Amino acid sequence: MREMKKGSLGLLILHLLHERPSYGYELTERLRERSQGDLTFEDAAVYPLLHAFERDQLIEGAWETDNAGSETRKGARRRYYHLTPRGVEALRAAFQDWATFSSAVGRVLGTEKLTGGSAQ
Amino acid sequence: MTSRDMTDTSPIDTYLAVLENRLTVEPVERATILEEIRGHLEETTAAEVARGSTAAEAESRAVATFGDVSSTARSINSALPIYWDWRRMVWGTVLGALAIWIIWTLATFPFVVPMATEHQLDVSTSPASLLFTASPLGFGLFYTLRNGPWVALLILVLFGAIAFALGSRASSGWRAGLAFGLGVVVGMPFLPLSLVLAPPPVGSLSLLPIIVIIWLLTPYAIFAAQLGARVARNRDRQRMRVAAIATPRRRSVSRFAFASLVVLVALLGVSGWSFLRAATMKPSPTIPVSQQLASAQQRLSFSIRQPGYLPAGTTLNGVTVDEAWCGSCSVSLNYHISNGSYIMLYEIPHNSSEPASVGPDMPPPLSSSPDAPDAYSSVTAVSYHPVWWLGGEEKTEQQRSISWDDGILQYGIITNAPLSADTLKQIARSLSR
Repeated sequence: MREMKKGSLGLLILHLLHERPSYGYELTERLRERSQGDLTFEDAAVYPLLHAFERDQLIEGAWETDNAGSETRKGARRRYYHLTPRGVEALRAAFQDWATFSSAVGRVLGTEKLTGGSAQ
Repeated sequence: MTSRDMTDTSPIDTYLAVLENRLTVEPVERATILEEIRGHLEETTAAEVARGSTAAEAESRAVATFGDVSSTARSINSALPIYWDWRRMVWGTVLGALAIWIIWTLATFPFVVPMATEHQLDVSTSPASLLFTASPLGFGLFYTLRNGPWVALLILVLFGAIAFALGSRASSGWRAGLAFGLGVVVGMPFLPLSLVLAPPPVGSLSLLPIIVIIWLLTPYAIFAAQLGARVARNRDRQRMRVAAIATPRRRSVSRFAFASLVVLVALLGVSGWSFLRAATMKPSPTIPVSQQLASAQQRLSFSIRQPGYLPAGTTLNGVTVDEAWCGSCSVSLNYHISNGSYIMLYEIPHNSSEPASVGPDMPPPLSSSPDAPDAYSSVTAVSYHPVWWLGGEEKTEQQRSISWDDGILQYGIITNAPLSADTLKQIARSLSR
Protein backbone atom coordinates (compact mmCIF):
# COMPACT_ATOMS: atom_id res chain seq x y z
CA MET A 1 0.00 0.00 0.00
CA ARG A 2 2.86 2.30 0.96
CA GLU A 3 4.59 1.80 -2.38
CA MET A 4 1.30 2.22 -4.26
CA LYS A 5 0.64 5.49 -2.47
CA LYS A 6 4.17 6.68 -3.09
CA GLY A 7 3.92 5.87 -6.76
CA SER A 8 0.57 7.60 -7.20
CA LEU A 9 1.38 10.83 -5.34
CA GLY A 10 2.93 12.45 -8.41
CA LEU A 11 -0.17 11.72 -10.48
CA LEU A 12 -2.45 13.09 -7.75
CA ILE A 13 -0.44 16.32 -7.42
CA LEU A 14 -0.45 16.93 -11.17
CA HIS A 15 -4.18 16.27 -11.25
CA LEU A 16 -4.92 18.70 -8.39
CA LEU A 17 -2.75 21.37 -10.05
CA HIS A 18 -4.59 20.76 -13.31
CA GLU A 19 -7.84 21.65 -11.51
CA ARG A 20 -6.40 24.90 -10.20
CA PRO A 21 -3.05 26.44 -9.19
CA SER A 22 -2.15 25.56 -5.64
CA TYR A 23 0.65 25.71 -3.04
CA GLY A 24 2.20 23.00 -0.86
CA TYR A 25 0.09 23.34 2.28
CA GLU A 26 -3.11 23.64 0.30
CA LEU A 27 -2.24 20.57 -1.78
CA THR A 28 -1.81 18.43 1.34
CA GLU A 29 -5.13 19.69 2.69
CA ARG A 30 -6.89 18.99 -0.60
CA LEU A 31 -5.41 15.49 -0.76
CA ARG A 32 -6.63 14.74 2.77
CA GLU A 33 -10.06 16.19 2.10
CA ARG A 34 -10.60 14.53 -1.32
CA SER A 35 -9.48 11.09 -0.12
CA GLN A 36 -11.58 11.50 3.04
CA GLY A 37 -8.53 10.54 5.09
CA ASP A 38 -7.87 7.23 3.30
CA LEU A 39 -4.77 8.56 1.58
CA THR A 40 -2.42 9.85 4.23
CA PHE A 41 0.97 11.23 3.30
CA GLU A 42 3.49 13.07 5.38
CA ASP A 43 3.09 16.74 4.49
CA ALA A 44 6.77 16.89 3.54
CA ALA A 45 6.24 14.34 0.74
CA VAL A 46 4.81 16.91 -1.69
CA TYR A 47 7.86 19.19 -1.78
CA PRO A 48 10.40 16.86 -3.43
CA LEU A 49 7.81 16.12 -6.13
CA LEU A 50 6.87 19.77 -6.66
CA HIS A 51 10.51 20.74 -7.16
CA ALA A 52 11.33 17.72 -9.33
CA PHE A 53 8.30 18.52 -11.52
CA GLU A 54 9.32 22.17 -11.69
CA ARG A 55 12.88 21.22 -12.69
CA ASP A 56 11.44 19.01 -15.42
CA GLN A 57 9.20 21.88 -16.58
CA LEU A 58 5.94 20.05 -15.89
CA ILE A 59 4.87 22.81 -13.50
CA GLU A 60 5.85 26.40 -12.82
CA GLY A 61 5.98 28.01 -9.42
CA ALA A 62 5.77 31.65 -8.35
CA TRP A 63 5.52 33.40 -5.00
CA GLU A 64 2.09 34.84 -4.32
CA THR A 65 1.96 38.54 -5.24
CA ASP A 66 -0.75 41.17 -5.72
CA ASN A 67 -1.29 43.12 -8.93
CA ALA A 68 1.38 45.66 -8.01
CA GLY A 69 3.89 42.91 -7.54
CA SER A 70 4.19 43.04 -3.75
CA GLU A 71 3.16 40.29 -1.37
CA THR A 72 -0.59 40.12 -0.82
CA ARG A 73 -0.64 38.90 2.73
CA LYS A 74 1.34 39.29 5.86
CA GLY A 75 2.54 36.04 7.36
CA ALA A 76 3.40 32.74 5.73
CA ARG A 77 4.60 32.99 2.15
CA ARG A 78 2.91 30.83 -0.45
CA ARG A 79 4.46 29.55 -3.63
CA TYR A 80 1.74 28.75 -6.13
CA TYR A 81 2.27 26.13 -8.80
CA HIS A 82 0.41 25.66 -12.05
CA LEU A 83 0.65 23.03 -14.77
CA THR A 84 2.56 23.81 -17.96
CA PRO A 85 1.43 22.44 -21.36
CA ARG A 86 4.17 19.87 -20.98
CA GLY A 87 2.71 18.96 -17.57
CA VAL A 88 -0.75 18.56 -19.07
CA GLU A 89 0.66 16.18 -21.63
CA ALA A 90 2.47 14.24 -18.89
CA LEU A 91 -0.68 14.11 -16.77
CA ARG A 92 -2.66 12.72 -19.69
CA ALA A 93 -0.07 10.00 -20.33
CA ALA A 94 0.18 9.12 -16.64
CA PHE A 95 -3.60 9.04 -16.26
CA GLN A 96 -3.86 6.68 -19.20
CA ASP A 97 -1.17 4.44 -17.66
CA TRP A 98 -2.97 4.45 -14.33
CA ALA A 99 -6.34 3.66 -15.91
CA THR A 100 -4.85 0.75 -17.85
CA PHE A 101 -3.06 -0.53 -14.75
CA SER A 102 -6.00 -0.27 -12.36
CA SER A 103 -8.41 -1.76 -14.86
CA ALA A 104 -6.02 -4.70 -15.45
CA VAL A 105 -5.62 -5.25 -11.71
CA GLY A 106 -9.40 -5.00 -11.30
CA ARG A 107 -9.97 -7.61 -13.99
CA VAL A 108 -7.50 -10.02 -12.38
CA LEU A 109 -8.90 -9.56 -8.88
CA GLY A 110 -12.52 -9.61 -10.03
CA THR A 111 -13.32 -6.39 -8.22
CA GLU A 112 -17.06 -6.65 -8.77
CA LYS A 113 -17.14 -9.99 -6.97
CA LEU A 114 -15.13 -8.60 -4.07
CA THR A 115 -17.40 -5.61 -3.68
CA GLY A 116 -20.42 -7.92 -3.94
CA GLY A 117 -19.09 -9.91 -0.97
CA SER A 118 -19.02 -13.25 -2.81
CA ALA A 119 -15.27 -13.70 -2.52
CA GLN A 120 -13.79 -14.65 0.83
CA MET B 1 2.34 34.15 13.26
CA THR B 2 5.30 34.94 11.06
CA SER B 3 8.93 33.99 11.14
CA ARG B 4 9.66 37.40 12.63
CA ASP B 5 7.45 36.61 15.65
CA MET B 6 9.35 33.44 16.48
CA THR B 7 12.27 33.03 18.76
CA ASP B 8 15.47 31.40 17.53
CA THR B 9 14.79 28.28 19.52
CA SER B 10 11.29 27.60 18.25
CA PRO B 11 10.67 24.03 16.95
CA ILE B 12 10.11 25.42 13.46
CA ASP B 13 13.42 27.30 13.42
CA THR B 14 15.24 24.27 14.78
CA TYR B 15 13.62 22.01 12.20
CA LEU B 16 14.50 24.36 9.36
CA ALA B 17 18.07 24.85 10.59
CA VAL B 18 18.66 21.08 10.67
CA LEU B 19 17.00 20.63 7.30
CA GLU B 20 19.10 23.42 5.78
CA ASN B 21 22.28 21.66 6.89
CA ARG B 22 21.22 18.39 5.36
CA LEU B 23 19.99 19.59 1.99
CA THR B 24 22.44 19.05 -0.86
CA VAL B 25 20.49 20.96 -3.51
CA GLU B 26 21.46 24.22 -5.23
CA PRO B 27 21.50 27.28 -2.92
CA VAL B 28 18.64 29.06 -4.71
CA GLU B 29 16.49 25.93 -4.68
CA ARG B 30 17.35 25.30 -1.02
CA ALA B 31 16.27 28.81 -0.05
CA THR B 32 12.98 28.38 -1.95
CA ILE B 33 12.26 25.00 -0.37
CA LEU B 34 13.04 26.25 3.15
CA GLU B 35 10.84 29.31 2.67
CA GLU B 36 7.98 27.18 1.39
CA ILE B 37 8.29 24.73 4.26
CA ARG B 38 8.39 27.62 6.73
CA GLY B 39 5.15 28.91 5.24
CA HIS B 40 3.65 25.41 5.43
CA LEU B 41 4.62 24.96 9.09
CA GLU B 42 3.31 28.42 9.99
CA GLU B 43 -0.04 27.75 8.32
CA THR B 44 -0.32 24.40 10.12
CA THR B 45 0.53 26.16 13.39
CA ALA B 46 -2.11 28.81 12.76
CA ALA B 47 -4.69 26.09 12.07
CA GLU B 48 -3.76 24.28 15.29
CA VAL B 49 -4.03 27.52 17.28
CA ALA B 50 -7.45 28.11 15.73
CA ARG B 51 -8.47 24.66 16.99
CA GLY B 52 -7.54 25.68 20.53
CA SER B 53 -3.88 24.70 21.00
CA THR B 54 -1.34 27.01 22.57
CA ALA B 55 1.25 28.52 20.22
CA ALA B 56 4.03 26.26 21.57
CA GLU B 57 1.90 23.10 21.29
CA ALA B 58 0.75 24.10 17.82
CA GLU B 59 4.30 24.58 16.56
CA SER B 60 5.46 21.24 17.96
CA ARG B 61 2.47 19.49 16.41
CA ALA B 62 3.06 21.19 13.05
CA VAL B 63 6.64 19.99 12.99
CA ALA B 64 5.65 16.46 14.06
CA THR B 65 2.99 16.06 11.37
CA PHE B 66 5.17 17.56 8.67
CA GLY B 67 7.60 14.64 8.73
CA ASP B 68 10.90 13.49 10.16
CA VAL B 69 13.64 15.94 9.22
CA SER B 70 16.07 13.21 8.12
CA SER B 71 13.64 11.47 5.80
CA THR B 72 12.45 14.83 4.46
CA ALA B 73 16.01 15.84 3.63
CA ARG B 74 16.66 12.42 2.10
CA SER B 75 13.64 12.49 -0.15
CA ILE B 76 14.34 16.06 -1.32
CA ASN B 77 18.01 15.23 -1.95
CA SER B 78 17.18 12.09 -3.89
CA ALA B 79 14.65 13.88 -6.09
CA LEU B 80 16.89 16.82 -6.99
CA PRO B 81 20.43 17.07 -8.34
CA ILE B 82 23.29 17.61 -5.91
CA TYR B 83 24.96 21.01 -5.73
CA TRP B 84 28.76 20.78 -5.53
CA ASP B 85 29.74 23.50 -3.07
CA TRP B 86 33.42 23.99 -2.19
CA ARG B 87 33.27 21.45 0.66
CA ARG B 88 31.86 18.77 -1.62
CA MET B 89 34.45 19.69 -4.23
CA VAL B 90 37.25 19.14 -1.73
CA TRP B 91 35.82 15.70 -0.93
CA GLY B 92 35.41 15.06 -4.65
CA THR B 93 39.11 15.78 -5.18
CA VAL B 94 40.05 13.41 -2.35
CA LEU B 95 37.74 10.80 -3.89
CA GLY B 96 39.37 11.36 -7.29
CA ALA B 97 42.85 10.88 -5.80
CA LEU B 98 41.78 7.66 -4.05
CA ALA B 99 39.97 6.43 -7.14
CA ILE B 100 42.94 6.88 -9.49
CA TRP B 101 45.30 5.13 -7.08
CA ILE B 102 42.92 2.21 -6.46
CA ILE B 103 41.84 1.79 -10.08
CA TRP B 104 45.38 2.18 -11.43
CA THR B 105 46.83 -0.33 -8.97
CA LEU B 106 44.01 -2.88 -9.16
CA ALA B 107 43.90 -2.77 -12.96
CA THR B 108 47.68 -3.02 -13.36
CA PHE B 109 48.46 -5.62 -10.71
CA PRO B 110 46.98 -8.71 -12.45
CA PHE B 111 48.97 -7.81 -15.59
CA VAL B 112 52.23 -7.14 -13.75
CA VAL B 113 52.31 -10.52 -11.97
CA PRO B 114 52.57 -12.72 -15.10
CA MET B 115 55.05 -10.26 -16.63
CA ALA B 116 57.27 -10.60 -13.58
CA THR B 117 56.87 -14.39 -13.61
CA GLU B 118 57.91 -14.56 -17.24
CA HIS B 119 60.88 -12.25 -16.56
CA GLN B 120 59.51 -9.51 -18.81
CA LEU B 121 59.94 -7.16 -15.86
CA ASP B 122 63.12 -6.68 -13.89
CA VAL B 123 61.41 -6.58 -10.49
CA SER B 124 61.28 -8.82 -7.48
CA THR B 125 58.35 -11.27 -7.55
CA SER B 126 57.43 -10.63 -3.91
CA PRO B 127 53.78 -9.50 -3.59
CA ALA B 128 54.77 -6.23 -1.90
CA SER B 129 57.24 -5.34 -4.65
CA LEU B 130 54.71 -6.23 -7.35
CA LEU B 131 52.01 -4.18 -5.63
CA PHE B 132 54.37 -1.22 -5.55
CA THR B 133 55.23 -1.74 -9.21
CA ALA B 134 51.52 -1.79 -10.09
CA SER B 135 50.87 1.48 -8.23
CA PRO B 136 51.16 4.91 -9.90
CA LEU B 137 54.45 5.42 -8.06
CA GLY B 138 56.00 2.20 -9.38
CA PHE B 139 54.52 2.87 -12.81
CA GLY B 140 54.28 -0.75 -13.93
CA LEU B 141 51.40 0.41 -16.14
CA PHE B 142 53.89 1.56 -18.77
CA TYR B 143 55.45 -1.89 -18.92
CA THR B 144 52.05 -3.50 -19.47
CA LEU B 145 51.57 -1.25 -22.53
CA ARG B 146 54.11 -3.47 -24.33
CA ASN B 147 51.41 -6.15 -24.44
CA GLY B 148 48.60 -3.83 -25.55
CA PRO B 149 46.62 -0.85 -24.29
CA TRP B 150 44.20 -2.91 -22.17
CA VAL B 151 45.18 -1.64 -18.74
CA ALA B 152 45.12 1.98 -19.87
CA LEU B 153 41.70 1.44 -21.45
CA LEU B 154 40.39 -0.25 -18.30
CA ILE B 155 41.56 2.69 -16.20
CA LEU B 156 39.97 5.15 -18.63
CA VAL B 157 36.64 3.30 -18.55
CA LEU B 158 36.48 2.92 -14.77
CA PHE B 159 37.66 6.45 -13.97
CA GLY B 160 35.27 7.86 -16.56
CA ALA B 161 32.41 5.74 -15.23
CA ILE B 162 32.78 7.19 -11.73
CA ALA B 163 32.94 10.74 -13.12
CA PHE B 164 29.86 9.97 -15.23
CA ALA B 165 27.98 8.68 -12.17
CA LEU B 166 28.92 11.73 -10.09
CA GLY B 167 27.86 14.02 -12.94
CA SER B 168 24.53 12.26 -13.38
CA ARG B 169 23.59 13.24 -9.83
CA ALA B 170 25.06 16.74 -9.94
CA SER B 171 23.29 19.99 -10.71
CA SER B 172 26.32 21.04 -12.77
CA GLY B 173 28.40 18.24 -14.20
CA TRP B 174 31.53 20.31 -14.72
CA ARG B 175 31.93 21.10 -11.02
CA ALA B 176 31.72 17.42 -10.10
CA GLY B 177 34.05 16.47 -12.95
CA LEU B 178 36.56 19.20 -12.14
CA ALA B 179 36.74 18.22 -8.48
CA PHE B 180 37.02 14.51 -9.26
CA GLY B 181 39.50 15.05 -12.10
CA LEU B 182 41.71 17.30 -9.97
CA GLY B 183 42.23 14.25 -7.79
CA VAL B 184 44.65 13.00 -10.48
CA VAL B 185 46.80 16.13 -10.14
CA VAL B 186 46.57 16.30 -6.35
CA GLY B 187 46.89 12.53 -5.87
CA MET B 188 50.12 12.32 -7.85
CA PRO B 189 52.22 15.26 -6.62
CA PHE B 190 55.37 13.43 -7.71
CA LEU B 191 54.55 13.96 -11.40
CA PRO B 192 55.77 17.57 -11.62
CA LEU B 193 58.58 16.72 -9.19
CA SER B 194 59.81 14.03 -11.54
CA LEU B 195 60.43 16.69 -14.20
CA VAL B 196 63.06 18.17 -11.94
CA LEU B 197 64.36 14.96 -10.42
CA ALA B 198 64.38 12.73 -13.49
CA PRO B 199 67.78 11.13 -14.04
CA PRO B 200 69.66 12.25 -17.19
CA PRO B 201 69.02 9.17 -19.37
CA VAL B 202 65.25 9.61 -18.89
CA GLY B 203 65.14 13.37 -19.15
CA SER B 204 62.45 15.92 -18.40
CA LEU B 205 61.47 16.35 -22.03
CA SER B 206 60.59 12.67 -22.43
CA LEU B 207 58.58 12.75 -19.18
CA LEU B 208 56.58 15.85 -20.04
CA PRO B 209 54.30 14.23 -22.65
CA ILE B 210 53.64 11.30 -20.28
CA ILE B 211 52.67 13.67 -17.49
CA VAL B 212 50.48 15.73 -19.81
CA ILE B 213 48.70 12.55 -20.93
CA ILE B 214 48.02 11.60 -17.30
CA TRP B 215 46.81 15.11 -16.48
CA LEU B 216 44.43 14.90 -19.43
CA LEU B 217 42.38 12.69 -17.12
CA THR B 218 41.15 15.92 -15.51
CA PRO B 219 39.40 17.34 -18.63
CA TYR B 220 38.34 13.76 -19.42
CA ALA B 221 36.60 13.58 -16.01
CA ILE B 222 34.91 16.95 -16.65
CA PHE B 223 33.69 15.69 -20.02
CA ALA B 224 32.42 12.40 -18.53
CA ALA B 225 30.64 14.19 -15.67
CA GLN B 226 29.04 16.70 -18.05
CA LEU B 227 27.88 13.82 -20.21
CA GLY B 228 26.46 12.11 -17.11
CA ALA B 229 24.54 15.26 -16.14
CA ARG B 230 23.15 15.65 -19.65
CA VAL B 231 22.11 12.02 -19.97
CA ALA B 232 20.42 12.10 -16.56
CA ARG B 233 18.54 15.30 -17.42
CA ASN B 234 17.27 13.89 -20.72
CA ARG B 235 16.34 10.58 -19.15
CA ASP B 236 14.41 12.25 -16.34
CA ARG B 237 12.51 14.45 -18.74
CA GLN B 238 11.67 11.51 -20.94
CA ARG B 239 10.49 9.50 -17.96
CA MET B 240 8.40 12.35 -16.60
CA ARG B 241 6.66 12.84 -19.92
CA VAL B 242 5.62 9.22 -20.00
CA ALA B 243 4.85 8.45 -16.40
CA ALA B 244 4.59 11.72 -14.52
CA ILE B 245 5.46 9.84 -11.38
CA ALA B 246 8.55 11.06 -9.63
CA THR B 247 10.43 7.93 -8.94
CA PRO B 248 13.61 9.20 -7.33
CA ARG B 249 16.78 8.97 -9.37
CA ARG B 250 18.21 6.80 -6.62
CA ARG B 251 16.94 3.69 -8.36
CA SER B 252 18.96 4.24 -11.53
CA VAL B 253 21.95 5.39 -9.51
CA SER B 254 21.79 2.28 -7.36
CA ARG B 255 21.81 0.15 -10.51
CA PHE B 256 24.92 1.98 -11.62
CA ALA B 257 26.47 1.69 -8.17
CA PHE B 258 25.74 -2.05 -8.22
CA ALA B 259 27.47 -2.42 -11.60
CA SER B 260 30.47 -0.45 -10.30
CA LEU B 261 30.56 -2.62 -7.19
CA VAL B 262 30.57 -5.76 -9.35
CA VAL B 263 33.51 -4.42 -11.39
CA LEU B 264 35.36 -3.39 -8.22
CA VAL B 265 34.79 -6.80 -6.61
CA ALA B 266 35.95 -8.50 -9.83
CA LEU B 267 39.10 -6.36 -9.88
CA LEU B 268 39.71 -7.06 -6.21
CA GLY B 269 39.17 -10.77 -6.84
CA VAL B 270 41.59 -10.91 -9.78
CA SER B 271 44.13 -8.80 -7.88
CA GLY B 272 43.74 -10.99 -4.79
CA TRP B 273 44.25 -14.10 -6.90
CA SER B 274 47.32 -12.52 -8.51
CA PHE B 275 48.60 -11.53 -5.07
CA LEU B 276 48.30 -15.12 -3.84
CA ARG B 277 49.95 -16.33 -7.02
CA ALA B 278 52.84 -13.93 -6.48
CA ALA B 279 53.10 -14.98 -2.83
CA THR B 280 53.36 -18.65 -3.75
CA MET B 281 55.71 -18.15 -6.70
CA LYS B 282 59.01 -19.96 -6.40
CA PRO B 283 62.01 -17.64 -6.65
CA SER B 284 64.02 -19.88 -8.99
CA PRO B 285 63.44 -23.00 -11.03
CA THR B 286 64.11 -26.21 -9.21
CA ILE B 287 65.16 -28.17 -12.31
CA PRO B 288 68.70 -29.53 -11.80
CA VAL B 289 71.25 -27.60 -13.84
CA SER B 290 72.47 -30.79 -15.58
CA GLN B 291 68.90 -31.38 -16.76
CA GLN B 292 68.66 -27.74 -17.91
CA LEU B 293 71.85 -28.22 -19.88
CA ALA B 294 70.61 -31.44 -21.52
CA SER B 295 67.26 -29.86 -22.34
CA ALA B 296 68.96 -26.79 -23.86
CA GLN B 297 71.30 -28.94 -25.95
CA GLN B 298 68.31 -30.80 -27.46
CA ARG B 299 66.82 -27.55 -28.67
CA LEU B 300 70.00 -26.13 -30.19
CA SER B 301 71.54 -26.81 -33.58
CA PHE B 302 75.14 -26.52 -32.24
CA SER B 303 77.08 -28.03 -29.36
CA ILE B 304 77.16 -25.98 -26.20
CA ARG B 305 80.72 -25.18 -25.19
CA GLN B 306 81.55 -25.01 -21.49
CA PRO B 307 84.70 -23.48 -20.00
CA GLY B 308 87.24 -25.90 -18.59
CA TYR B 309 88.57 -23.16 -16.35
CA LEU B 310 86.59 -20.98 -13.96
CA PRO B 311 87.64 -18.98 -10.89
CA ALA B 312 87.39 -20.85 -7.60
CA GLY B 313 83.89 -20.94 -6.08
CA THR B 314 82.12 -20.58 -9.43
CA THR B 315 79.20 -22.89 -10.19
CA LEU B 316 76.82 -23.21 -13.11
CA ASN B 317 73.50 -21.90 -11.84
CA GLY B 318 71.22 -21.94 -14.90
CA VAL B 319 71.04 -22.46 -18.64
CA THR B 320 68.72 -20.31 -20.74
CA VAL B 321 67.82 -20.84 -24.38
CA ASP B 322 66.74 -17.58 -26.02
CA GLU B 323 63.17 -18.09 -27.23
CA ALA B 324 62.02 -14.56 -27.75
CA TRP B 325 64.62 -13.22 -30.17
CA CYS B 326 65.41 -15.98 -32.58
CA GLY B 327 63.45 -19.10 -31.63
CA SER B 328 65.82 -21.42 -29.76
CA CYS B 329 68.93 -20.25 -31.55
CA SER B 330 71.24 -19.05 -28.80
CA VAL B 331 72.13 -20.05 -25.27
CA SER B 332 73.39 -18.35 -22.14
CA LEU B 333 75.16 -20.13 -19.30
CA ASN B 334 74.76 -18.35 -15.99
CA TYR B 335 77.47 -18.90 -13.38
CA HIS B 336 77.43 -17.70 -9.79
CA ILE B 337 80.56 -16.92 -7.88
CA SER B 338 80.54 -17.51 -4.12
CA ASN B 339 80.96 -13.77 -3.35
CA GLY B 340 77.59 -13.05 -5.02
CA SER B 341 78.92 -11.98 -8.42
CA TYR B 342 78.04 -13.60 -11.72
CA ILE B 343 79.61 -14.68 -14.99
CA MET B 344 77.39 -15.04 -18.07
CA LEU B 345 78.53 -16.85 -21.18
CA TYR B 346 76.62 -16.28 -24.43
CA GLU B 347 76.87 -18.50 -27.50
CA ILE B 348 75.12 -17.42 -30.68
CA PRO B 349 75.39 -19.12 -34.09
CA HIS B 350 76.14 -17.01 -37.17
CA ASN B 351 73.03 -18.01 -39.07
CA SER B 352 70.66 -16.70 -36.39
CA SER B 353 68.73 -13.47 -36.72
CA GLU B 354 70.19 -12.32 -33.42
CA PRO B 355 71.67 -8.84 -33.58
CA ALA B 356 75.39 -8.87 -34.26
CA SER B 357 76.34 -7.55 -30.83
CA VAL B 358 76.27 -9.70 -27.70
CA GLY B 359 75.00 -7.81 -24.72
CA PRO B 360 74.33 -4.10 -24.60
CA ASP B 361 77.93 -3.00 -24.15
CA MET B 362 79.75 -4.88 -26.92
CA PRO B 363 79.85 -3.08 -30.23
CA PRO B 364 80.26 -5.08 -33.46
CA PRO B 365 82.26 -6.17 -35.34
CA LEU B 366 83.60 -8.81 -33.03
CA SER B 367 87.21 -9.82 -32.82
CA SER B 368 88.15 -13.16 -34.27
CA SER B 369 89.92 -14.22 -31.06
CA PRO B 370 89.50 -13.57 -27.35
CA ASP B 371 93.16 -12.64 -27.30
CA ALA B 372 92.69 -9.71 -29.68
CA PRO B 373 93.34 -6.35 -27.95
CA ASP B 374 89.83 -5.01 -28.74
CA ALA B 375 87.98 -8.12 -27.49
CA TYR B 376 88.05 -6.96 -23.87
CA SER B 377 86.02 -4.05 -22.48
CA SER B 378 85.17 -2.69 -19.08
CA VAL B 379 82.16 -0.37 -18.76
CA THR B 380 80.00 1.14 -16.05
CA ALA B 381 76.50 -0.28 -16.51
CA VAL B 382 73.55 1.60 -15.01
CA SER B 383 70.09 0.09 -14.57
CA TYR B 384 67.01 1.75 -13.12
CA HIS B 385 64.46 0.51 -10.68
CA PRO B 386 60.79 1.14 -11.67
CA VAL B 387 60.87 4.36 -9.65
CA TRP B 388 62.95 5.73 -12.46
CA TRP B 389 61.00 8.91 -12.80
CA LEU B 390 61.81 9.97 -9.29
CA GLY B 391 65.41 9.39 -10.18
CA GLY B 392 65.44 7.25 -7.06
CA GLU B 393 66.75 3.78 -7.22
CA GLU B 394 69.42 3.08 -9.76
CA LYS B 395 71.92 0.23 -9.84
CA THR B 396 75.44 0.89 -11.04
CA GLU B 397 77.97 -1.86 -11.57
CA GLN B 398 81.25 -2.29 -13.36
CA GLN B 399 80.79 -4.89 -16.09
CA ARG B 400 83.81 -6.54 -17.70
CA SER B 401 83.29 -8.44 -20.89
CA ILE B 402 85.10 -10.22 -23.62
CA SER B 403 83.59 -11.10 -26.98
CA TRP B 404 84.81 -12.76 -30.13
CA ASP B 405 83.69 -14.67 -33.19
CA ASP B 406 85.30 -17.91 -34.29
CA GLY B 407 83.50 -17.96 -37.65
CA ILE B 408 80.87 -20.46 -36.43
CA LEU B 409 79.62 -18.93 -33.21
CA GLN B 410 79.70 -15.53 -31.59
CA TYR B 411 80.75 -15.62 -27.94
CA GLY B 412 80.42 -13.23 -25.07
CA ILE B 413 81.49 -13.44 -21.45
CA ILE B 414 80.15 -10.79 -19.11
CA THR B 415 80.85 -10.50 -15.41
CA ASN B 416 80.40 -8.03 -12.60
CA ALA B 417 83.16 -9.70 -10.61
CA PRO B 418 86.51 -7.87 -10.41
CA LEU B 419 88.19 -10.30 -12.80
CA SER B 420 91.20 -9.20 -14.83
CA ALA B 421 91.29 -9.27 -18.63
CA ASP B 422 93.74 -12.17 -18.43
CA THR B 423 91.38 -14.24 -16.29
CA LEU B 424 88.52 -13.66 -18.73
CA LYS B 425 90.75 -14.63 -21.65
CA GLN B 426 91.77 -17.76 -19.75
CA ILE B 427 88.09 -18.70 -19.35
CA ALA B 428 87.53 -18.04 -23.07
CA ARG B 429 90.48 -20.15 -24.15
CA SER B 430 89.28 -23.03 -21.99
CA LEU B 431 86.00 -23.43 -23.89
CA SER B 432 85.80 -27.01 -25.09
CA ARG B 433 83.90 -28.43 -28.02
